[in-house]
Amino acid sequence: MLRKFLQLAVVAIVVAVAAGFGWLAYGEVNTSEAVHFDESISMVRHQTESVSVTLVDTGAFVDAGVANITDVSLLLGEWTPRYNGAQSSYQKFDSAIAAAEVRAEAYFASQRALTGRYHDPVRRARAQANDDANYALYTQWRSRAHQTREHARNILKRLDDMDTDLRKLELSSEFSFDAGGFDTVPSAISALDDELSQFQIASENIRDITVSPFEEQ
Amino acid sequence: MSRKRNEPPRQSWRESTTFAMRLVAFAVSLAIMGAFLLPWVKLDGESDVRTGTGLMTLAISPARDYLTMVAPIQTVVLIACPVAMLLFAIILAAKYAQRKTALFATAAILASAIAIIYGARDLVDGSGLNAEFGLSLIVILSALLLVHQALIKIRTRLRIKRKLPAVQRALFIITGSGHYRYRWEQT
Repeated sequence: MLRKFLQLAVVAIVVAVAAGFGWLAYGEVNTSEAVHFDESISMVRHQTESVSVTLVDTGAFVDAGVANITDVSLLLGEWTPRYNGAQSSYQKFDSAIAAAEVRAEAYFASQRALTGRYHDPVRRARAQANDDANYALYTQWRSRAHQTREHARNILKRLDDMDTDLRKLELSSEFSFDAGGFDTVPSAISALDDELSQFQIASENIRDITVSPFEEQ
Repeated sequence: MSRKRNEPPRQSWRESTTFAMRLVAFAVSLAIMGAFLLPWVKLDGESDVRTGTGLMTLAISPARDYLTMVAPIQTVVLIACPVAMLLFAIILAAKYAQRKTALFATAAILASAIAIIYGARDLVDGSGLNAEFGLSLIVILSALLLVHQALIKIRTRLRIKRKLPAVQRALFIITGSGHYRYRWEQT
């Protein structure tokens, strides 16, 4: 009898977990395209802030750190996690924009399909105009997002070059004690500063607009 | 106080403790399944913490597209591990209900939980230990059950080799695998 009771307890908890899963799955399936699109826009905003922080952090470290550190391995110890973080943030930012574009296409396809269901040509024309206005706002948002991504990519390329500089320096330090190789880094920093300031302006732009592409209405 | 002739002998404290430990071990195996409804991880960029069942719903969620673009293997870990863990948790609880062990299932649950904590770092928000209460609970409970089953194996070995009877008796009680009499179940 005890075993039966325990087996019933197992069945009850399995049913509870299955019900919890079913409830969440039902919510996912029945969420509208608009909500998914809004979530993807929020993700882009989050990743814009994240990539901005990591790139500026890497740039700030390069500014402050290189002058004081004379040991390549110490410098690489500080540099590598920041560089990896910047790369990871950029990848997330890029993926968030790509995912938002996919969600946007689904959203506008649904919107167009609904507009096509109007029988009254006047109402349909009005809805069509509204859809077009929304789509225009979206394309504006998309072009700004691409612009910001381009800035971020340029900064990342500079960081890649600096990483290569440091790796070459590390390699050469294996047989030479010459610290003159650090000279290449400051020139890269000044170029990076320009890119960072441009990127910061662009990311401020995208943060302003990514609240929602339709908030300007 | 002497008992009547036809009355069954009273339970000793050893039997009561053995029975209690058996129920505790079973309750722990059930709690692992219950932990699927508790918070597990907070994904980077999401406002809510995902539960074990919430991670499984990623398979049908549009959020999966973004996660796959960022880290495909880590996304598979995030979705597949909870599913595997749930299946193993059902096997484990069913075995414990029958007073049997399932070492492979317990080890698989622990390994999957660790895979989520350390194997999906790029997708999870925060640094260090990427586990909320529910996932931490699963790690602790499955580790406890692993120890429980290891002690049962040791007890079995000692019994076969007829060594250390005092340790054997203690293990019978601690693991809840010894004999007991109960109104519901005569052993």
